[in-house]
Amino acid sequence: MEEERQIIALILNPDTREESFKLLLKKYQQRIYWHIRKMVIDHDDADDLTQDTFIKVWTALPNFRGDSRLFTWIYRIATNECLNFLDRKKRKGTVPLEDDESHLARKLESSSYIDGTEIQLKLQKAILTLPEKQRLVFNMKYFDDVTYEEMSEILGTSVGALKSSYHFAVKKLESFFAQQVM
Amino acid sequence: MPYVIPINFWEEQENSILSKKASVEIIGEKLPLELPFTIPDGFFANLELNILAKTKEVEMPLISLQACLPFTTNNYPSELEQKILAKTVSKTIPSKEAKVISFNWKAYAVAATIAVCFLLGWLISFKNSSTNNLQAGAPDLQEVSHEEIVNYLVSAPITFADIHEMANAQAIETAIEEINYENLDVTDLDNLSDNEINEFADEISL
Repeated sequence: MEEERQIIALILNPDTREESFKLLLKKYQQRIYWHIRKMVIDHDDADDLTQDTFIKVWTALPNFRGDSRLFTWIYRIATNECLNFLDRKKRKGTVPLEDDESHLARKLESSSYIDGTEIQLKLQKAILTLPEKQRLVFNMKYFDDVTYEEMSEILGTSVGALKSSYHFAVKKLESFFAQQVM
Repeated sequence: MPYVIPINFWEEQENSILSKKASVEIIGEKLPLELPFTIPDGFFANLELNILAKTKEVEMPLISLQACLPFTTNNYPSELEQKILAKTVSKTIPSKEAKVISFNWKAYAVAATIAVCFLLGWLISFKNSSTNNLQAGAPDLQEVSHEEIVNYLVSAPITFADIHEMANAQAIETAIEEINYENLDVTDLDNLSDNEINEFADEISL
């Protein structure tokens, strides 16, 4: 938190803005990349979206008021970039509407930057069966260990709704694995 | 006790424990926390450079655009603002007062009520006057003798239906009831021929 305050102070000073942005990149780029990668699966798409996210952060930095934590603000921009990207794919017709899940599952199988155990891949396929928002909540809670309060700031949803969403996500994964066993 | 804990410590503890519990097992299966995704070597180092290069590109177009345009001055943006303000002040259009049309519901309601009352009154008076006219036009049969009625009925080129329209049916009925059949001189009828009686009967048949 203290480090974040220092970065914000440097950002607000036009002379040190560029230096503070480099600090920001070093601190957050990996977390943001993996957050995006979990949603879009493909490495090249995640790469583009991560760059777009930080360009938007750079452009909007002078207007950052400090109402929320810097990290939650950047996370929110990255989340919106992911959702807009997936929505654009559907609208352009490159992804059939009903087949968004199977399109990403195919990327999971065919992409060159996928390498994991059977159970890891199984879990990713199971997560892809969840609706987009629920997938976000599950990924942030399960893999990134984001607190519900931080998630509430990022997604603009109440803590109760997020807990409920996570609970239902786990239930759906349970039924997915139960079907796989049968 | 001389110990203190951070704010929200117990909440974060609870979240941490629950999340760990959920991450360990689903249907007896220990689920991984690792992702099956890989990245090219040196990706993050290149990512940082790519992003920094793009931030320069974002700033560059604005500067290069200004350099290309030969028509703008160095202080163009601030001068422009002043010019626009100066022009808007000199060309202020006087605002016209808008017509205010108020709709007074009460006044219209009162007027409508009065109009309805007038209409009802007129209808009632029209009805009464039409019946009065009928009554006025009709002869006062009580003052007319029975012989005169019969002569009138025989001689006048009107039917009994005409009389019924002109006179009050009730008055006729009353008059008819008052006819004293016992005093009626039947011999008068003997002087009439059968044809004349039949004609009379046809005329009074409704």
